[in-house]
Amino acid sequence: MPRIKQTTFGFLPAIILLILPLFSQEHYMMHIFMWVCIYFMLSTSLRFIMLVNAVNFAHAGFMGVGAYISAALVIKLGLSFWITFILGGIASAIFAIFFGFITLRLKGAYFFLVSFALCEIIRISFSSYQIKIFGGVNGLIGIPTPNPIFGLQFKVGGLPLFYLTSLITIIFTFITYLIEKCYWGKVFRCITESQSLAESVGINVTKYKLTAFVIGCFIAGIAGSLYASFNGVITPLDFTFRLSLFVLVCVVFGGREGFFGPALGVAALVAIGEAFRSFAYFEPIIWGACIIIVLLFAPQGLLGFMDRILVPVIWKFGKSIKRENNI
Amino acid sequence: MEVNWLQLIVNGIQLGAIYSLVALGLTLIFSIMNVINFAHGEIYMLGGFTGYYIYYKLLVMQLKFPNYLAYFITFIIILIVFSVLGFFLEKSIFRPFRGNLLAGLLISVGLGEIFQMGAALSFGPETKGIPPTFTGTLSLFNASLSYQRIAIIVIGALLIVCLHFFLARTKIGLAMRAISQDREAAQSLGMNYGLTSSLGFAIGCVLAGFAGILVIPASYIDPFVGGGYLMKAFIIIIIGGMGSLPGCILGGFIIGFIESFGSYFFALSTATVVSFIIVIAFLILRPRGLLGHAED
Repeated sequence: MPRIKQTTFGFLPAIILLILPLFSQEHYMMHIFMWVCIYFMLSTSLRFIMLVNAVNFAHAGFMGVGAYISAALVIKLGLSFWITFILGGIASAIFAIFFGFITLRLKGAYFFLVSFALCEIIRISFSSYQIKIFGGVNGLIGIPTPNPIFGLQFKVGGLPLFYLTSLITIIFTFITYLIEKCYWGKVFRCITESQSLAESVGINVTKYKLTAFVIGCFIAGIAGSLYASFNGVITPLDFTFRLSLFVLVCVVFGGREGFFGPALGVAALVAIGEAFRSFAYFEPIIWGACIIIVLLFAPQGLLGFMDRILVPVIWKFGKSIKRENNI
Repeated sequence: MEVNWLQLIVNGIQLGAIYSLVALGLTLIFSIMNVINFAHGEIYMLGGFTGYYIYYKLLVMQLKFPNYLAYFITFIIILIVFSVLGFFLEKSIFRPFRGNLLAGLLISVGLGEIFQMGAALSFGPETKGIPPTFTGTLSLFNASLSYQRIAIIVIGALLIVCLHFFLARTKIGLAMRAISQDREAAQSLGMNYGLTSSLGFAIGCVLAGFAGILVIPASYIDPFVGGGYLMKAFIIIIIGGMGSLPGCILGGFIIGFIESFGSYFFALSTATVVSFIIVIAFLILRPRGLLGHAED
């Protein structure tokens, strides 16, 4: 099988996403396009962490750390967005170093349990401590959009803000792509296959796990600061376990194996969610059903399904045409 | 104002009994099947709703049963319904993922979400409470202890003792312990892994359901309480030691006391954050928990 097919399936939604806003700049649609970018960053970084067999249930929490730090710096200290959005990511990464250093060195299920608890703890902390800085339950209001640069005005619902968000998304996902394709990616796979085997050939498992985790959380923090700047308002309830869950469903549904699985999952699930907007209550049930069906019947997800069923059919069809032409 | 220590202690024991029951089921499932059941909090929530609808709406309001009899009947109903539910959940969904930590965890997250939103859609998202089954209070050393809380403690203790005797004396209980210690050796000695894990899952579900019906007369229930209880159960498991049943009970009471005293002297959110900090301290200093065995 040629390697190119996965990339095609992944690039297709991305390119459609980049072109669509040119035709429709309705406020609601722009909001969805921005969200798709955020989801895409989150799910790609979550899959990056899952490469080392660690599911970060606190991914929304780390996004919240980035969002809160960057928003508080912008509002309280008046710093520029161009500095704070990196600072938000760095804050999230530093937090991830502390948390990951404690939990990732332990074998077994500790990381899952503690990260689930951490998501709730981050939400509680933001809503009940340092109310002067973080605004308590009401959150932070009036976060400005990015400052103008090169004569571009970044207004909410405008094209420049969307392309800025998608550019940052593409840059950071491309970095994870590069990391995954180089030596480190092979080490990650080795750890996933067998941790004890990896240890026995002299790989410092904790170091690599921590690296993947910190990079993933850094990107989540960046996504959080982008979210804060385009939404204008953040509350602790934006960063609950439910967001982590949605991102996780995107990864599992799209396919954990391929790099573009999460992109496909985000595209499919957001499309399903928008199509059934009037049944919004049912959405989490659909997510749950998606996870169960995918794990029971197609463990490779949508991408694997396309790889195994669609591509061979197309490939065979193409081959038979070629053969006929040759003869 | 004078601090009423007895009141706080009894509250702590009562919370501890509930948390222990939830955590015990989770640990039992984890140690037999090596699956972390993220839907456990939702099963607890379903137990609470069974209490609300079957016990209060049907038996007490409609059929005018006396309180105690209705409460007893509800326990029997939960025992039957939840064991069947657990049995078939394990057989149909969790069976292929035993021993596979990551996949088992993902699938239980999906299941929990279905339960939670299903409950919210069918029962409504609002908070529900019922009047206490055991009315009246006991006055002791200036503390007024409601009979409901005392009943929770007594029934919880009884259930824990029953579970102990089940695991220590019956054949299937011994098989569960053997499989949790060394699965392959136990299987080679003829123990039925499939049946054992189905029964273990059923018992875990029943324990969570019992916790739900115990809580609802003293507190409230809504479709979204599951996550909080699940988080506390995780904290308890880590403090007590992964896979250790006595550790679960001990951890449950520690968290119960922290919550009871913490919410009196500070705020409930502070108590939750403190218990999380304790977990982090445990992970740094003693990862195997209070009573757990060292990882091999």
